[in-house]
Amino acid sequence: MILRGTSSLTDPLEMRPDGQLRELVNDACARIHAEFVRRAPFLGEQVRSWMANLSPTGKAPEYFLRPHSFPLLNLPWWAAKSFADEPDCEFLADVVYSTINGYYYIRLLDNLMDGHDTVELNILPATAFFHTEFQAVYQRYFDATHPFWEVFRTAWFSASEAVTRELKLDHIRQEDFERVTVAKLAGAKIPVAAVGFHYGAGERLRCWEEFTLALSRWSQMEDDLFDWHNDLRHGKTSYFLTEASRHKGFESVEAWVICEGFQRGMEALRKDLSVLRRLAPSLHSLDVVRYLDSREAILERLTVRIGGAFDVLKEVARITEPKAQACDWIEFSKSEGS
Amino acid sequence: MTLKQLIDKVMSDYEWYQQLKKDPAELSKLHGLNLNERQIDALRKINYESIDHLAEAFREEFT
Repeated sequence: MILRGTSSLTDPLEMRPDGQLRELVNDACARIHAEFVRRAPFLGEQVRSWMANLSPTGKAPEYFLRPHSFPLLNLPWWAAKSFADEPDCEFLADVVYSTINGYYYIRLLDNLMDGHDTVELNILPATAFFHTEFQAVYQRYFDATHPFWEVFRTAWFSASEAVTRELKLDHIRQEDFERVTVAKLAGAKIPVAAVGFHYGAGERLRCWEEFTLALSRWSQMEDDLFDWHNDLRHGKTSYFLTEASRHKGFESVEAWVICEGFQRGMEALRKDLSVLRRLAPSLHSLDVVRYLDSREAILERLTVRIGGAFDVLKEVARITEPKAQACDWIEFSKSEGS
Repeated sequence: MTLKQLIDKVMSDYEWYQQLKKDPAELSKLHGLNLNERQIDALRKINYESIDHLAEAFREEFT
């Protein structure tokens, strides 16, 4: 239900996280462990293994630095660099620490709600730690009446509302995708808003918030497209799978994806990437431009690679079941519908 | 095989996919596919390289 970005494909065009951000992420994970050791060592030991197991490399910080992931930590970092020549490293270390705690809070609950849990039920009390650390950091910077807290409440509560609503949906139509699926990611606005208020960014903060929302939407579409088979196997619904059910005619979802759906999904991603590009200039961030270039290059490479693989699958199907020509039903359904 | 059966196998059955690449005749025997010589020859001529990363691209783990 949340953006996991689990692909491990490597690409020379991928943008690597810069050294300073990497250091902040390493420090934040170490700080979480240190706080647990000091305050709740028994629980902390179990949380430490859980955090490590989430990461494909077994190293918790690496989980947040993968180039295919939604740039949850990069966004406030890039925003800070666009607002000031010399970013306030102590503040940004706190923002990264808060955001990682917020992520783990959501991830723990999300794994339980999705049924992907392993040890999550045993460490559920760790949500108290993660939530407190996520929120408490900002109390150092914004007093109780500061407008930051209205952004915080609005984003945080609307994300919780959306997660609960999505659980009840059997299908996700476009309006549900916009109103519910994208709203689940509203929490990503919180660290960006914190940075904007801290640097007095004024109107420019609105541009960053708008971009964050648009990028969340794009990343969720990408997640739906690349998770389609996993979602299908686990009986999960998504906007992409709802569209597949609507368009597949008499064929299977799998056949629709191979013959038509994947290309449609990639075209939608390409189109929405151009929306992100239109928003980028107002941010004055070379990092964002580089990020979008990198995403576009990855998308093009995957279009070619996966398109080629699907052609081979169609050929194997044609050989092994010559009577049922691979995409005939899809073509037939389309011609009947037109 | 249908596209549905094929993609399920390619995405989640590593052994099956390796057998398809290596020896479609053996695969046909082991899995009762009843492929004839012409079909087996055609499968042997296919370059499967592009499928190798499909499961990874779609975030599946071979099981």
